[in-house]
Amino acid sequence: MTDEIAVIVSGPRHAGSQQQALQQQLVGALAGRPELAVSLIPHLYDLKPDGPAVRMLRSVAGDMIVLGWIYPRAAYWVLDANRIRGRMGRTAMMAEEEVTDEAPAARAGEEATQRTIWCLDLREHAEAGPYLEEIGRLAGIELAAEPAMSAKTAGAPHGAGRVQEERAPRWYPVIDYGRCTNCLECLNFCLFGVFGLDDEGSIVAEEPDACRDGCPACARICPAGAIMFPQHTDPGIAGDAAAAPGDLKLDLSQLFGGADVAQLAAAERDRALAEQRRHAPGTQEPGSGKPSDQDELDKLVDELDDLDL
Amino acid sequence: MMGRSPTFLPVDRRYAPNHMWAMPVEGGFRFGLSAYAVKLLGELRHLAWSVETPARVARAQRIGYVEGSKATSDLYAPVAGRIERFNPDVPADPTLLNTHPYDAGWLLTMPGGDATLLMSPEAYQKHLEAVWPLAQRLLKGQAGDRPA
Repeated sequence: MTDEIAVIVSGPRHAGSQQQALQQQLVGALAGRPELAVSLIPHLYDLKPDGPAVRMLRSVAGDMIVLGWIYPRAAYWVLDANRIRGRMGRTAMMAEEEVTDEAPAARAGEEATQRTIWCLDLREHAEAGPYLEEIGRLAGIELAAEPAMSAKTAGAPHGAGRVQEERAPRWYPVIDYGRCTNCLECLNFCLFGVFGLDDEGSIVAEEPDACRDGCPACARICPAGAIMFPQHTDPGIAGDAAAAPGDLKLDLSQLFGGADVAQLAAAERDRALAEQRRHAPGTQEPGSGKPSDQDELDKLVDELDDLDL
Repeated sequence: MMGRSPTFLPVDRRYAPNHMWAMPVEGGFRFGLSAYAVKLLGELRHLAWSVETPARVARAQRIGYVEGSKATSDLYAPVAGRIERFNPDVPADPTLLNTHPYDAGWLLTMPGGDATLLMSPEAYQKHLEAVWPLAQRLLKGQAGDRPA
């Protein structure tokens, strides 16, 4: 491979000392290598649409390795949402099922791209070694954990570009078009007008920042598990490919929230009431006529109520 | 009473309604999760805090997240006050809560803090008994709602 590979190092939303140390170690070892073009950008998920970092990323034509603090699957589709596209690269750190060998289909008005994007999750290892090994393998070079140049300064070391933006945390759904079947359940369900259709009738997050901060309801209703909220605490919702859709664990938050007995009783009563309403004779069902959809809908309406909109 | 195995409750500390124990230490309290809570979670896989110390918190303010083999949960401040320190060993190895929930697996310290809500071991035992039937129904109800 003679073209240099772009290595994008995106920072965490909140930079603790361990994260900063890892990042500095990585940039120290990578910057200055002629085979790599290293850039530092803010937290991938929080990037401003059409902001300086996204514009820089769009200008990269060749292969790209993206290091971030969200699941690789989430990172890949965040890039896609910003029209930064490529073949999903297979890394040693990924689950086998996650990677398809097909190049993504060309979108209207764009050429199909043949370049590859590899995404790595910087939360997986505390040390730089495993990442340098993987990046070295992908780029076909030897990378040592010892810095090629000193990375002690807080600013970008010589040899790494830095794109800065005013930072503000965002909350919006990220669509995995590998799983999305365009059933439009999310479009029908969302109360905040986040979703819309593009010119080809495909679902997109048209108004991402209309999304209600902290609400993951559309991710739960998507039958294909195609919607991610990379900052959500549940790995399945945050984009962990290993967590299969529907494989959600019990949530004990109500028990651990310090609710007293009266509160728990009220919650239990309300749930039973909802159950009763569901099974009462003469209950009208909406258009679909499928009981399991109605149960899911009730459960989600309860969750929305709990959000205290 | 609560499932088949009895829960051993250390008597040298107090308990909060959210299933945390509170051990008096110099000038305040050290908190952790009771064995009851840990058992419900299963084998601890992941624990992360969402506030940075020192953190002034209200009672029941969300301060973090825990995931085990059986369940997940948000974590909440047991009392109002200031969280001074989190146990640095736990996020790296959450199974400390499974093996040592009452000592090495401690979670956080709060100097001062409002201790009026903390219960004696006997009162907590009664709280567990009162809460258990409801807890069971909530848990089973949740399991029943999940798609097969």
